[in-house]
Amino acid sequence: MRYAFRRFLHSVFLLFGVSVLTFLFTTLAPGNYFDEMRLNPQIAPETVTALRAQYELDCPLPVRYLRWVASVARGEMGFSFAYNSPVAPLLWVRARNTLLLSLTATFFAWCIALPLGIWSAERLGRTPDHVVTSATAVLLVIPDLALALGLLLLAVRSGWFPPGGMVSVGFASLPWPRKLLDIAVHMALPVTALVLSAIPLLIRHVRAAVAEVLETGFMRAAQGQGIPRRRLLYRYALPAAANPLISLFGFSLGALLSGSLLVEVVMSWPGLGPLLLEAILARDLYVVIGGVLLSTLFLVGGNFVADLLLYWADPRIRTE
Amino acid sequence: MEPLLDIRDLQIEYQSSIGELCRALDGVSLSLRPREILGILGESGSGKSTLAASLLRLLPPNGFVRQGQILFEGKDLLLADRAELERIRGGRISLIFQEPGVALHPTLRIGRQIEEVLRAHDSPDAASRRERSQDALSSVFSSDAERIYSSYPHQLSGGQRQRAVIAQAIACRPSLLVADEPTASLDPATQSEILLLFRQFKEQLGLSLILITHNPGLLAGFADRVAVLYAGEIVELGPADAVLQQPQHPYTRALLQCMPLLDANNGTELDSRLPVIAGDPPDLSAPAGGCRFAPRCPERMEICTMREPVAVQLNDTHQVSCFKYGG
Amino acid sequence: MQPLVQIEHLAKRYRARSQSSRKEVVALDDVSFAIVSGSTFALVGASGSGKSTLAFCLACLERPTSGKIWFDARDVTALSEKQLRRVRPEIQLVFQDPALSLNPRMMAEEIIAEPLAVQRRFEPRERRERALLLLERVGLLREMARRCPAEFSGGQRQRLAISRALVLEPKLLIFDEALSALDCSVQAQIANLLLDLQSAFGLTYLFITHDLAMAAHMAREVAVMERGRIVEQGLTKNVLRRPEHPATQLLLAAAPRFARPRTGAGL
Repeated sequence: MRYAFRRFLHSVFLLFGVSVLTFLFTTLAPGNYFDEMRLNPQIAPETVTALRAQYELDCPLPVRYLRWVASVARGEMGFSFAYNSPVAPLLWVRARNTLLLSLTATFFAWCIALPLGIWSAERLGRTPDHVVTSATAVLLVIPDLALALGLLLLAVRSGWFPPGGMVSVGFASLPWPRKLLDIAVHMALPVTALVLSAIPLLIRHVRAAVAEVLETGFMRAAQGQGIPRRRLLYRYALPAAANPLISLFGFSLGALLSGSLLVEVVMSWPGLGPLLLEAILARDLYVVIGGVLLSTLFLVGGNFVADLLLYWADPRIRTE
Repeated sequence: MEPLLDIRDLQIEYQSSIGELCRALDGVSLSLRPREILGILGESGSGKSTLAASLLRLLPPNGFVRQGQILFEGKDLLLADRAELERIRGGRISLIFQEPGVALHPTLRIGRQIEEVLRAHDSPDAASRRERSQDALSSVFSSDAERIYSSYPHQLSGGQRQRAVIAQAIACRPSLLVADEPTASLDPATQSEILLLFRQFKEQLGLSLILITHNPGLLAGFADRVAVLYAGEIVELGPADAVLQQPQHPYTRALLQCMPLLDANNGTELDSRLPVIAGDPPDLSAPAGGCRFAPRCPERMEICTMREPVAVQLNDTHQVSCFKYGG
Repeated sequence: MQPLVQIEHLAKRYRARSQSSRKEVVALDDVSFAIVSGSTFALVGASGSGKSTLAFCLACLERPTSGKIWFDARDVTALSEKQLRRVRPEIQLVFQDPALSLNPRMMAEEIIAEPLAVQRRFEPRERRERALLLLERVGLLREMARRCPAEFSGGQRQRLAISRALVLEPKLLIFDEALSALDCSVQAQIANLLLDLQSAFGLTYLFITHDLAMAAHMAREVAVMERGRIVEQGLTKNVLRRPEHPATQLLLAAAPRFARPRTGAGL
């Protein structure tokens, strides 16, 4: 319990620090939302000044920060200039879409990587293992961008999958089951792109962790006790190899919001990624801060969950 | 009486990464009766661990059996299929490795680890498994069995871990226990206790034991028979007292002379040099013709470098592979 | 004559860091003995009796909770860290498992020369030459100088560890179960080597073991430890002939005692 509490405090402190830093960097970066407007000769300079005052852009930095914290407490998380609305609702919708994609992709990635990594580790150094390591090497080398574009090309050429977006035109009028199918069909390619870019690293780590465990004395001893092969792998080897994999899982969780930005932009998936990109380009200050902070929350949360899992899974950490 | 275990002319080779073949065991023949304690005396490189591993076909991937038979309760283990092998491992024959700390799974409780073995050998329901597991622990831990049951390996001392491994080994009531240097890293008091445990199991459970060690002192007063292993061959085999007190093979003699011993007054000669065996164990990837021990043998004769000696029966129970006795 | 090592009322207590108990562990309790220069002193006892803790305190790798350690007429317990750094080269340790104390990625000659490099003594060429000389002195061959520990046998690795311990020309060598993991015949070889080196270099040994027979063979004096205390000590031959404390008797009972085999003619 003390352990969990300590880690929790640590996470909170981290979040607070990140919020300060993000605020600092984004406000100190050159340019602001209204610069474009100022260049437009049709808009009077006084309008710009008035707008700036309305959005309190000329207040000193600490005051703005505190006002923003208050806004977070109210559930608004600041105000978006471009969308002319509080930031929070924008973020939730987009975050939900992103999570739909990334949770599915993470699930499939781990479901593929675990058995494949174990299978490869069992056959370490032999041909099947070489096949797996070469395939993962190739996948690692191909940039995510190329993967996503390649899949998009496939969609366009074959017509089997829609070329991007989350829903078809006329989505609202579809009956429930057809709605789900529609989303699923739109999800297929982005999820594939994400899974393909995630599995090489996962497989390699699973393989390495399991291979190391398979050589240990207790595995040999367990084999000598007649424990059947399947049980040996999943009830003996995997738990013993769990530590590095749990940390990796923490990273998977942490990257749920941030890892899919590229794929979302290329495939026009209405997630957090494109929103953030737009906001950065337009200097939509509070959207950027809100987005970054949300991603950080997941990152920190993911690590925290990994720490707790590690504590639960490994008695040696508990009794220290 | 039908032997429990009958090893016939076992030859095992390892293939190195560059394709070199190294013969770790070269024609080993041994038999073991029920309720017998056989000591295998061998130093590093003698092939003793290979012998232990081969009994349950636990050789590493680069090791293979060139020829030979391992007959256990009448059936050849080398021909057994996977299901049969899993049934025998832990169920009829149990193996105890060196280094108890390494033989236990680091994140499973001791009781659970014993129950896993029981589960693998027809113990269907959890309640009976728990009971048998606790029984096994009580038979090796005179007190404290409850606490050990729910402990993790890292919470136990070396001696306690070794006892836990032994409890796990006898949980399914095997007929043969093979222990490879079971007391290696333990202090003498614990060593004696472990040996006592083994003897207890021999009496109560009708267990046979093969004790593999490099320390003759362990076998004295404990083993019924002793086989001396050198460079993959059995050079002497006979009743423990005979082999340890009147060794016939030059290697056995030289080995026993190396040990500092306490005499009747518990004294020794201070500052004297211990007699040593000159040279190093032979390179098994390139065996020279002739007796393996010849290069280091103080009683070497000319014939020893030309041919390999065969086992000569000195009497009903004692055999030696040395040209000094014929062959 | 002043003994090389004088230990007075040494005590070492640890605070147990487990969650449940905040108990104190008493590793050493009022330990006192002396080691005469050029001789071997044996320390025997069961696991957990405090032998290794004593070795670490004596080697100045740990600070005792109380008590004094006099080494070569200096009170090392009163020295500062900086002053200790000059004393440590004179006391060297050899451990039980050479595989754990030798860097697997370094070659033999590098391993032996490393202490010289750390202490910044001599030029690299001279260091290498000294390393090679010591390599031969412990019974290894020059050709082995560029091999890594994995290519050596257990006994050879231990010789390597010993040569590394000698390179700084120490006065005191502490062997913490250094022979226990070796084969019998190899133990005999190394034991002989240690006796040779002792007479050649005038070394003093603290020999920690639980093998009473080996202790009797190597050491003039012995101390028996149990639970952090010395329960019996004196000249080895006297302690073994008339053991008084149960711990000593227990160790004695466990030592092999079959008669030395008759040599020479066979049956």
